[in-house]
Amino acid sequence: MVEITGLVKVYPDTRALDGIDLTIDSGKIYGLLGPNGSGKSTLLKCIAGLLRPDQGQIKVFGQRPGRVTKAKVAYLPEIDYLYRWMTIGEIINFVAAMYPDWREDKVDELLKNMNLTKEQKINSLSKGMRARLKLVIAMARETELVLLDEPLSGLDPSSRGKIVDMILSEFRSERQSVILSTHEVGETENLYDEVIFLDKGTIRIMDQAEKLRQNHGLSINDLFREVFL
Amino acid sequence: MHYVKEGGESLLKIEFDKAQPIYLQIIDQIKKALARGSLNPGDKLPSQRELALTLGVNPNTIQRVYREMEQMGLTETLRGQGTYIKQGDDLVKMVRSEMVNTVAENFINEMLALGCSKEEIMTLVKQLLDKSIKLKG
Amino acid sequence: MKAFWQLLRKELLAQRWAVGILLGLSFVWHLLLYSKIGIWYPQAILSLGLIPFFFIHLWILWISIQVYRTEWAEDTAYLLLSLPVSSWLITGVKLLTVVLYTCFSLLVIAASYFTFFRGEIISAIQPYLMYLETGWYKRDLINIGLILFIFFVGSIMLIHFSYICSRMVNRLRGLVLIWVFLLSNWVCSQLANLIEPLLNWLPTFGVDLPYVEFGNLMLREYRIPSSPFVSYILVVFGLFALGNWLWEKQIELA
Repeated sequence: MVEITGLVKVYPDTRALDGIDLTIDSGKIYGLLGPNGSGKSTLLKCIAGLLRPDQGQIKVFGQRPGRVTKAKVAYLPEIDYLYRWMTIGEIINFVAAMYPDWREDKVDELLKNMNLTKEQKINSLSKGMRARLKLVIAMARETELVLLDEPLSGLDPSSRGKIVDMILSEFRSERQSVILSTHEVGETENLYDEVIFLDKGTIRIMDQAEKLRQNHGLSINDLFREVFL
Repeated sequence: MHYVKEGGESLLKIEFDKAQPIYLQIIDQIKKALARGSLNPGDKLPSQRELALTLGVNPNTIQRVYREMEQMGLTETLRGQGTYIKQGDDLVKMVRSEMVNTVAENFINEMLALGCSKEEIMTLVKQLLDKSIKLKG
Repeated sequence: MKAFWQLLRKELLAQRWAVGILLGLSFVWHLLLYSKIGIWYPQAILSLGLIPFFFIHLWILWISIQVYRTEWAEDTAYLLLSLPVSSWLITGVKLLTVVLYTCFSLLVIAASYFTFFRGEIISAIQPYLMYLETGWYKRDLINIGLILFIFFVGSIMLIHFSYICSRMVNRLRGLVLIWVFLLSNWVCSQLANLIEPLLNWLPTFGVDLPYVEFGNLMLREYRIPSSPFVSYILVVFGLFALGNWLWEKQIELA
């Protein structure tokens, strides 16, 4: 569903992505792992259509990222990108009107699982609650590709657990793929089908998680530590 | 640590040693449950989705677990009804002996690797066995 | 359609403070002048009462930038730019928001002006009321209002175009914004002059200029060609379209 060839993205001071070749297949959860500044966010933004390649190309469902692919991709950015002055109900109504694949019947259940109510104001939510809300919005759509940029970063253990549980329970392995970026593997260890280690804008390791465990005799978490620390 | 419950009975207790493929560890635990008798022929296994959620594991991993177990002849899937442990006493015996053999072989290999002689191993096993029977008795 | 209403609702609510501040200040100013009735000259009070109408130009400039700037300042640009909607819907709603709020503010300030200083206004225009009896000014009001409205909306569109351009660079955005705005106004006048001859088949419209001769109201009609205005509209629209293309195809979120 995603084909990336020779992707290069240059910022004024760094080569954020330096020749990425990557194919994302349907029905899998991908772990995009690497330390801060390794290019994870840049790669996800390129797929989401928020950044444009300097070299190489990206095809999402056979098309260059743009308005058409945005309707088919759910993107959760690392930063808080929701209108803070809105209530949860208001932001839900807002995004629901924008996405043709919004699952109205699903939202209430997801909010309930995340201990959120529509009356709450976004600027009164804790960091963990805001992260949970972001995930609800990403998962309330019937998309084939979900991009989660650091969904667990800096959260309390209870929120982290809830988020991992929701990714698992909402993942539709028949026709959906999830790419999850993180700089600490931790409780996401058991989530991945495929693992991509990103280092200074290049792919260091890319393989099936189970194969890596078998070949290296290490958990992904330990392998990550060994490669990057 | 996770418990899988089906009909109120605890079937599996898994504390992942993540250095091994997760699907192998789950199959291993199911076999152990069979050998112990906490899982019996004809028992229904939870649905793949249910097991994925309770264990907190990717559903594709569970799918692989079920596929491999079926290939090993451990389980059978009745269409529209779910996956069951295969009927027949042979199965339990087979799984049990296979697991016992593996454990024993591992033990012997390790002891030999440490340079123990056959007599040494025999006496040690006898001693330890007496001790633990006494403790439990 | 649902997307349009949700976007409009969002823009209106997000900028409500800007309108509140403008109307609040204007109200306080009129209230202050109101308390000076009978102390200051009526002419002075009536003239000073018009200050909010001049101030609103600066305010339009500010809120025009604000509808875009807040999206980046609060990181909501990430949401806005990942929506699968046409850039025209987003930029159009932002334009509409500024227009609606400006019209609304003008109406409220005018209402406040006429309410607070009703007595002064009536006595000031009393001597001229007889000239207005025929209602000749109605056509002028509509035509001049239309021209002002075209330039008002055109200016906002150029500000919005300039803001989007300023988002294409990583530093000195404020400078780029001002520079592009000035340049685009110049380009507009140049291009409009170029196109105008092609449109001179368009009809003219009339504006009546009044003058008083021997105590009688006389009107002199001026015919004004509409081609300069239409060509201005076309060029501004072209630049706005370019801005939309930039929005959809070029803007990046680092």
